[in-house]
Amino acid sequence: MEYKDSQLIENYLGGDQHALELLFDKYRNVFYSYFNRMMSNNFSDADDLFQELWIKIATSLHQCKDRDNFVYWAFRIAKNLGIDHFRKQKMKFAGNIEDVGNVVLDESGPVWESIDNEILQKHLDDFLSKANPELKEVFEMRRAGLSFKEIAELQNCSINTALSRMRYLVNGLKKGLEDYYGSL
Amino acid sequence: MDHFEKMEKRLLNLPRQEFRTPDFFDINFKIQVAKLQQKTRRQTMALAAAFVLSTLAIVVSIQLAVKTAPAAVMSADTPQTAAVTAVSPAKSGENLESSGFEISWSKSEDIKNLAQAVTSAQWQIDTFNPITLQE
Repeated sequence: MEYKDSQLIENYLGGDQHALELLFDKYRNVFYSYFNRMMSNNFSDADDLFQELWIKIATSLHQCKDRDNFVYWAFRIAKNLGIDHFRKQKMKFAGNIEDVGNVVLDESGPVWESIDNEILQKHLDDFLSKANPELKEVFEMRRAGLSFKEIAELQNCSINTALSRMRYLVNGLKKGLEDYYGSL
Repeated sequence: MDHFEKMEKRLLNLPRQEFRTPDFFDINFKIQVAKLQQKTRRQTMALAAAFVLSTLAIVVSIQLAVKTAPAAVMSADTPQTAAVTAVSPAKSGENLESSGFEISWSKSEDIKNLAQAVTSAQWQIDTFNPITLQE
C-alpha cells in the first residue's frame, strides 16, 4: 500500500519510526541519483551528502510546512547541502545562468522514438556528465516530479530560464544522437 | 503535446537506475545520534540561560544590598541600632520591595546575615564564573 507523504510525515512525527523508513524507500533513488549526478558520480561524496540529507530530514521534518510537497522541501535541503559541499571544496556549484539562453528546439524527425531505452539512457548520461550543474539539476528535479515553477524557485531564476535549460538538454541530446548515428 | 514535451516525457520516463544506496539502518543510527545531540544542545542552552539569569539575579541583589548595607552594617555595631533600623530600612526597604525582594531589617542580626550572604554570593560568582571555569 502506497502512503501519501503527508501521512508518513505525520506518522513519523507522531513517533512511528517505521514511517521514516517508508519515506526513505520511496525517495532514496531520487536523491541518491541527484547527488550522484551533481557530484559527477563521486560515490563517496554522494554517499556522505545522501546520509547528511536524511539526517537533516529526520531532525527537521517538523519544519516541513507543505507536507504534500515533501520532495520540494527535501530538494531545497539537498541543494543547500550540495552548495555547502562545493563551497568547502572551493568549487563552483552553479554555472552561469546566461550560458543557456533561449534555445529553439529543432522539430524535425522523431529520432527518439526509434532509439532503445538503454542507448538513450547512455547518451543522456554522457551528455549530462558534461553539462553544467544547473542542467543536471533541472533534469533530476523534473524527474522527481517538480514543476518548472518550483525548479525556478529552487534555482533562483525565472521559469523561462528553467524551461530553457531543459530545452537545451533535450535539443543538445538530440543533436548528439544525430551526430553519432548519422541521419536517423 | 508538442515535440519538446514528447521528448522530455520520454527522457523523464526512462527507467531509473537502481542505485545501491547507503543502508537505512546505518543512517537511522546516525539520525538517533543527531537527535540526541540536538536534545543535549537544547538542554545545555536551557542550563546556560538559567545560569545567566541566576547570576544576573545575584548581581542585582548584591548591587541592591551594597547600596543599603554599609549604613546598616555600621549601625549594627553601635548602640543606636534600634534608631537606625527604624529610619534607614524604610527607605531601603522600598527599593528592595520594588525589585521583588523582601528583607526584614528589624534586627542587627539580620544585617550581619545579609553581609554574610553578600560575601557568599560574591564567592559563588567568582567560583562559577565561566571564564574562571574555562581556565
